[in-house]
Amino acid sequence: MIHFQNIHKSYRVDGREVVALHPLDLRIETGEVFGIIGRSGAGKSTLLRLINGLERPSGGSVLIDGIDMAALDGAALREKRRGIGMIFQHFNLLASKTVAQNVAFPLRLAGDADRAAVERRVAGLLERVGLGGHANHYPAQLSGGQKQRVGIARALACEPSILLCDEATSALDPETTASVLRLIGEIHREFGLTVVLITHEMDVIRRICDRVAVLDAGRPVEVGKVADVFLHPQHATTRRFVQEYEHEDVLNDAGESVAAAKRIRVTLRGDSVHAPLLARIARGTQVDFGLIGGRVDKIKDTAYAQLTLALSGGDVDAALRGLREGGAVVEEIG
Amino acid sequence: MDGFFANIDWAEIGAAGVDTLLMLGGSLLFSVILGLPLGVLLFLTGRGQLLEQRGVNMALSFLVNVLRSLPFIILLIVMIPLTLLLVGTSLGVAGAIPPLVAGAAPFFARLVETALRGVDRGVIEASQAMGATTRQIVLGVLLPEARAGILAGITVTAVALVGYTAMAGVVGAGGLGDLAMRFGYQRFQTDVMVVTVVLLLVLVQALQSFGDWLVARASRR
Repeated sequence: MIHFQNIHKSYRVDGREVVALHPLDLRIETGEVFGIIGRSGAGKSTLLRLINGLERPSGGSVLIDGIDMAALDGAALREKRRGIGMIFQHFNLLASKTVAQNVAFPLRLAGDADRAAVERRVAGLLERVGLGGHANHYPAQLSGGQKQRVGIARALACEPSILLCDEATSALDPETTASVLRLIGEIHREFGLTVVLITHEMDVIRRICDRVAVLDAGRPVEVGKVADVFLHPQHATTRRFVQEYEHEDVLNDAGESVAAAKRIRVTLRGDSVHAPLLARIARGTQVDFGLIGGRVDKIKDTAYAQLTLALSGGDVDAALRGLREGGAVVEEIG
Repeated sequence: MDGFFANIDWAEIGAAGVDTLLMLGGSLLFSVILGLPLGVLLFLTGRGQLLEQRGVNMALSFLVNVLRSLPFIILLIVMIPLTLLLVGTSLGVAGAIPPLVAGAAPFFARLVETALRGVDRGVIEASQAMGATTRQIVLGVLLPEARAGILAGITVTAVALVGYTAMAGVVGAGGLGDLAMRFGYQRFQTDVMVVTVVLLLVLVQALQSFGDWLVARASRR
């Protein structure tokens, strides 16, 4: 478990105190995929780097399985860092070394002298990330997605228990992003890693995270299961991230007939998504359901449907009851 | 043709060429040996770097600036006592090498510092995240990643040294530049002047081409 305890960080810039992180407490459970989302400057990069000591806190502690990273120094800190893999937005591969040498680099740093064993391990890792044939290429010869795969193989070389992802897909196109996220998800399951990732894209959180923290101006404004935060955002910042992802402004374009009706947002999760709930209730209550907006998709492995509806005629109250009894979360919109 | 080359003593020119090459080789070797660590130290102690040390950085930077601001001809004379101490003579090829190094090593150190600054900070951060020591970062990351820039720096330094060696005649070091000075200029032997200058030109061209070839081979970008 990674436990941030009353951690805070501020910098001095031109004699002025700039707060990057306000005092915060946060727990990341062993084996989960934890996302941190925020705009640039929200403090997410600082928070991530506190975990492996690339940033030192101004106060508080970062406990990893009970050991305070903030209190470690020198050799003890370096030893701990080897157990934490990290991948980066711009990959940060050594341009002067081949793909295989890049992946072998952390092993060499750790003083792994057995050449044959290192070679076997490197070959295995490259095979796993789908770059078996690229061992002797240089990074400049690879595409962005391939570079990030090398980054992932390198991060896994020392058999870490934690993988930190620093905007790992932000420099990639949507298709490559999807395949890299899929690889991170697979590796998370195979190696039983704890994954902590930072991003400014809600879609990344939706695809692979179990839990998410929304960071705004150095403060976590919302922390919880991705489905809860994503489907029922409480804080204005969270709502902006979700809306940005959904591009949902259909509501404003809806005509006058809709304006007179009762508007609700219905959220269904899991198997109930596919049940013929709306049709059944419409028949029973004589309520007309008008469709204003909506989305049927998946959060990690869970299906969900979120529909904005205009209800008119019939017994509206009975329809709302029926929806709730059918497992839907119903929110009334002004 | 015979008339034009009347003053040329090819044996003398050959000996002067050997002197120039010896001075160049010796001073370049020691300039790299001294300038490389100096450049690494300048970089590492700089602001926001791995071994940030304001005082040390300012002291080193001042030393480098002093040596670089002294005209080489002055350095050549001011260095005489130190040269005597180091190589036992202040004359000839051996006597010219310490002042040549004193002039070129700080210059090369600055080029190394600049080359190291060009190394992507993210790569250094990634190495730190992997648990690398500062020593491992210098030897395994900074120097290999800056290899092309450092080789280009060595080339520039070598070419600059060819120019410096011409002045080393002041301490009786000989060489092609000295020949051009004493015979070509002072005795109005235009043919000697032309031949030595052409030879120096060929030398500089060869150094630059060889250096460029090494740089191209080292570049992986």
